[in-house]
Amino acid sequence: MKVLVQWASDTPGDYEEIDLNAGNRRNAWRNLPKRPAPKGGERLDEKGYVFDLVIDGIMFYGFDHVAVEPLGGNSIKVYGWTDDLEDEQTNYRWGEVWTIHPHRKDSRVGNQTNTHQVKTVYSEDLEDMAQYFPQETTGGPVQLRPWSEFPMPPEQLVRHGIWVRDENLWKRHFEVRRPVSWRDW
Amino acid sequence: MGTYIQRDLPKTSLSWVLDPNNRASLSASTDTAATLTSSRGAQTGLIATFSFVTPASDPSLTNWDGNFSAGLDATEAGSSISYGGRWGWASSDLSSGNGIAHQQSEALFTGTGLRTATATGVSWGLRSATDRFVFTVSSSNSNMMSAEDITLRVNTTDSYVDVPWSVGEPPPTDTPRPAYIGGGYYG
Repeated sequence: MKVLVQWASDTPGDYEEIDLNAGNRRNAWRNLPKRPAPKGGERLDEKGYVFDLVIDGIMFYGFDHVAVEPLGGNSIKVYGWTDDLEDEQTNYRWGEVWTIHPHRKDSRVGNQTNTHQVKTVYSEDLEDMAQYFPQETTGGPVQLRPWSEFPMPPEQLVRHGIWVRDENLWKRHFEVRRPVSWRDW
Repeated sequence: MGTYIQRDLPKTSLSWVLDPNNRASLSASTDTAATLTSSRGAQTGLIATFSFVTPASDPSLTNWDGNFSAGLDATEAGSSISYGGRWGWASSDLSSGNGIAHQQSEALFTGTGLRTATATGVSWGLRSATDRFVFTVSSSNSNMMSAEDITLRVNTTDSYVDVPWSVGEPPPTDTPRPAYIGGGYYG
């Protein structure tokens, strides 16, 4: 399954496409450039901070950290989480884990080809997060679990996000990339 | 039983959807696929995000009771976006109404793909025959850090709204008079 990565950059570019399940490319994600968790003052003149990550049309945007793990059968697991409580907008640790499977025929939509996605949300404040539930993906109901159960991925798979505080630069990241659809997968 | 298609054009003056680009229309016919996109701010509750409305005096009925369903085709969506369908009405001049009067029976959707929203046994009370029918997609964003987008594909048969009345029947017209063949008096 392909993964679209857009790097945070002072010269933003379109998504870079990698395929995690094609032949010997299972390590393509872990081999991507990586920079340490930002502490402030970082320059965006080299790759390593993720601006956005798109898989099956789902945008994993705005997380402190993301990770992608190839599974068997052309499926992948995607992690996105936020745990930087010093950030002025973050009140508690929370995260999402998606398992994205290949498309399949779906009897609920006239046997058309459809996505097959499964999502679990983890939160340190279950009561606050519960206001957004119930939810369901094409793979079934979304589970809401305590943050303590978040399945932290191996460090080699983790890539960090970064605030792009310059508003014009932030906008340019969206302007330069192509629109995508789940049908592209 | 009839079917409307969620269309990107023509735009309308519906007031309860913030982005004028997402105040759109319902039609009996399809068109070339197009997309509508909305950005939802960080950690925002469920609000009307896209609304599709029929032309004035469509359906021209006072009894709208029955079963409703709608197909949603979310091509792109932020991972923390959830969304769902609602059915409502608007006055003929769009100055009033309630685009979210009845909500889908399913849990909110999240992720991308084709989804079916349903509401069965909906009771509207007595509607004005000049009222317009409305289908609204509401969305929320549970990400406390960032705004996230949702994009719907419209104009195709995947983006439909099924209603318990006939849709798109042409208005009654005079029966064409057959061409006169032969001679004689034609009166």
